Amino acid sequence: MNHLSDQELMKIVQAGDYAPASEIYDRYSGRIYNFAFRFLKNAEAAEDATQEVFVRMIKYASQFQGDAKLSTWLFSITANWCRDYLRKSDNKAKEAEDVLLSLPASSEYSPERDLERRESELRVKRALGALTAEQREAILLSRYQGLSYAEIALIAGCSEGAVKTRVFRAMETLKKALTADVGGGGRWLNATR
Amino acid sequence: MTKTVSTIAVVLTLLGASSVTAARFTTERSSHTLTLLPGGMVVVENVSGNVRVTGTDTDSVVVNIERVFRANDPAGLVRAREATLTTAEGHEKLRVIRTVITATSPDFGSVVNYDLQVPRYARVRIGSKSADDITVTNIQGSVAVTNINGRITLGEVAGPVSVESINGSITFDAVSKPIAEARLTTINGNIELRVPSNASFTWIAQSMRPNYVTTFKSLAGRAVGPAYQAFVNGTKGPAFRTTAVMGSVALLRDGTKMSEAKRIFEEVRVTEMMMIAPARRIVRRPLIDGNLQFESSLGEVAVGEVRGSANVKMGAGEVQLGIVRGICDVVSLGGPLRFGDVTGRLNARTSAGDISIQSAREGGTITTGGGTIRLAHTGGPTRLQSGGGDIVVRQASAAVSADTRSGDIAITMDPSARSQRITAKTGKGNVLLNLNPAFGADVEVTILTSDPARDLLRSDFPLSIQREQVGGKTRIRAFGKINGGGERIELSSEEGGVQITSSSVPGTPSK
Amino acid sequence: MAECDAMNEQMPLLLTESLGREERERAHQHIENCAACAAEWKAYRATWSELGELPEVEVPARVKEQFLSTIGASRDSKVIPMRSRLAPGPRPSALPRWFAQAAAVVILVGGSYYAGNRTAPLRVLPSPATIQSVEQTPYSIAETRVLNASAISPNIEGRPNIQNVQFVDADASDNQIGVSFDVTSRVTVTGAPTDKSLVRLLSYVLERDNSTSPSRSNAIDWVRRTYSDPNHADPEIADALAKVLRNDTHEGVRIRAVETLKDMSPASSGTRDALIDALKNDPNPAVRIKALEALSNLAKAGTALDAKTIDTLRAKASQDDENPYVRVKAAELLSEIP
Repeated sequence: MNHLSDQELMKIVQAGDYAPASEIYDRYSGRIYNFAFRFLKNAEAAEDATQEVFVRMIKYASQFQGDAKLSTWLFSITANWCRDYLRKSDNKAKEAEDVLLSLPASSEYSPERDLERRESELRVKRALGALTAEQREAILLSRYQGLSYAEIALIAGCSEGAVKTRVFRAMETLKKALTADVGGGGRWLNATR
Repeated sequence: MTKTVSTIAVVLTLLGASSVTAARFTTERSSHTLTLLPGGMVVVENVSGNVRVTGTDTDSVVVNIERVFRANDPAGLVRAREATLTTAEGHEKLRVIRTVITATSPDFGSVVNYDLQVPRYARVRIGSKSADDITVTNIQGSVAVTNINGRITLGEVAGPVSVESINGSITFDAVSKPIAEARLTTINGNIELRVPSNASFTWIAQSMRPNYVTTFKSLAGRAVGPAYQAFVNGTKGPAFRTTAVMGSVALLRDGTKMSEAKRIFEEVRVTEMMMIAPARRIVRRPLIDGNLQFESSLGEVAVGEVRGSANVKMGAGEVQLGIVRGICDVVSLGGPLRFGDVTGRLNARTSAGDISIQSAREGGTITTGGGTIRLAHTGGPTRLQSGGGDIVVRQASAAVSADTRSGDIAITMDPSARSQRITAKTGKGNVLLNLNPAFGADVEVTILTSDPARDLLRSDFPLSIQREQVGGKTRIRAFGKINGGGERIELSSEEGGVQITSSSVPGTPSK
Repeated sequence: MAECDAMNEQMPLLLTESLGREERERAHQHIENCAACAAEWKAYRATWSELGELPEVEVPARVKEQFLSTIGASRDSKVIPMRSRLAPGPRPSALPRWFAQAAAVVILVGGSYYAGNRTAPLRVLPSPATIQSVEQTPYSIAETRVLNASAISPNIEGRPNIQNVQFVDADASDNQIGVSFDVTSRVTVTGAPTDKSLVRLLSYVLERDNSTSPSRSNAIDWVRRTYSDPNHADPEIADALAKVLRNDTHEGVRIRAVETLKDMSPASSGTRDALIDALKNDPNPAVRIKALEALSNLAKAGTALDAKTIDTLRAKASQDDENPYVRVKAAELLSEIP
């Protein structure tokens, strides 16, 4: 099964045989889950999102066009699910959940390094949290999923120009949040001479 | 002035001396002051360059940074500068000073040297990849240092100490009344532990060689597991654990020199691997005109010809003997063994590694804890055993017994052999036996398999076959007297196949 | 100033390397000559790199279980084709019927799938399970069909139950090899070692999980002879061997796999991970020694040791109950870190 391309696996699914479901899940679940987790800032919701995305993939397999990238299609489903989730007002309160609690313990690091990493993570998490949902979606897909603006535009349902603006605005906000020398923030020690 | 000179030396070393002629350098220096609360921690993470941390009586951290860039042209210098970021993060309880390299290129490089003055109460953590020197002095808090290459020197550190290096040596000057534990570990470097003569502590040293030396007169030491342990000035003090896996460990009394140190040795002869020679010894000789007698815990033996007998006991290392005229007895706790033409009986045993033999004229016993055994020719009864790995015998003119926990066994009998006892047993794998068409024997084949659908048994000699269910598996048994019968041939395989071929041409296709 | 504003807007694109070459050059030139933009660019890059501090989080295993149970596929669905218990969406009608059978029927898809009617697809049914009697040879030469690798699609559909695999190299000088096997009849596929179809076929022989047979050991020996030649190096073969090294329960087979990997240069990160895992966990010391030698060869070929490898080596060198030779070799490799 792992010899087959995404398109070939999807053809089998489209023919009504779900044998490739497990393989497709293995290929994309990590990316989907991480995207949803960072977008929603809630592990439980990210689990629901991941499961639901793959169920929808099976359910709507016939809508998948063979010439499209499966990743783009899956991220479209994911982004839709996440937007719906955030739209429900009672879910917004859950955003406050501290993502650091659900991070796996990394045994390779010394406690000090771990602490320092966690601080850095916290800072990045806070900075991402300060973005609008649209900006966050765009920056997550660009920075962490390596998607092109054209792909992001497809997923977000907007123009490439809009993606460009969202990423730019997001970067402006993140830059301020991450490079400012205020309590908890980092500072550059490079000599200016 | 001396500092400048040493800095330049470091720069040249770390930036690659070969590029010095064409290279340009620029240096930037900057200084920054940060506050730190009592009990606070200072973390320095560097990539390459020196780190020096000194305790002071103030409440602030002064960070002096020297960034040195190397490139072949001005544009490269700009890129090197851009790619070398130094950052400070954290707050009044935690200061993290870090070098971030955002791009690497053979065309440019950089070295960052840090010189920090920190409050004496600070806890200090330093991580570095490649440094000539990491020095920490006058600190009361705990200190932890990790690096790959370069020397680490700690002095006047009162708190718990943890140092981990891979290739660097470690020097630790203990305070006069130590209360905190120290753990010093290096893989390829050496350790020097210097203590006041009245300091009370437990010294625990460990090394594979083992090479421990001291200038203390009489140490009440003994072996504890793979380590050497001694109470110095009573049993009250903290433990200083010093592990130099491949290096040496020295315990020096203040005011004494390394050259005065004596080897601690007799006490440590406990485990089998710590045999006579303490250091790694290498014997490479074309000819030994007599017997070879060699024992070492770590070593390497390569001898072209031994006119007499060979007796080698090796802790860990390769053994290669070309011609051995007499009896050959080689025992290794780990490492491959290779033999050419062995005239006398061969006894070869390694705990791990492959064994290859050109010729064992008298046969013998060949055993590996795990690895492949390849025997080109044997002229006497031979027993081969592997804890896991293939066994290949290309030409046997006497009885052969081969046994592997897992792996294929391929035995080709000498065309002149008419009947010999043969046993081959693999826990998992295939058995291939090649006999001359006139070979006479009573054959018994047993195959235990969970996949009876496969074509598991092939024989050029007629055999009768039985099948039975054993648990969830199928046992296939085949018997027969071939060419009127003779010595017993017992072949047994689990989860594999058995093939008996008839050919007058020696050698199997298998390597 | 307007130029600087435009430049700022382009910086995210510059970071993702999404600008065309000319634009990129222009941007870099501007940044080099404009102090304000240079500072801005530095901050952009620092921000971008800081964003990378967010670690990847692992998906809890229960999510997969829930998903598979929702759609009615078991964990073993890789092997056994499953039918949906979920109401499927509209069924596509344009699909060739043979594709629907793909998982159940053994098919080496012909080149026609990609290139029109150049060759007809080859379809063969699985052979019935039989125990071959001792005297018989299973198939006669006359039944053998010889196919050129270029006529076969590199994609192997379903899990064909190929048996009695043999390798042929009739003329060592012609850069052509062949693989023969039984499906319903005897099939021989010939071609250059670098032909994708042959590479895939060999990978398949190596990876087949139900093959505990002579096939796999022989395949490894063959692969070693053929693919150790740097001209024939293929990452798919190396990955297939890495899987053998990870998964095969036969120590003899794992030793051969790691020996072969040792001779192959330069490995993918997947291969390297397999070597590290073998060094860490393989119960057979010979496998661990050879994994070390393979890692050492990689280092000699210029692959820098990454943090994970260094940690594993350090742990090995320090491990009291490890074989002393493994410890010494791990320490030796560490000593070569520049």
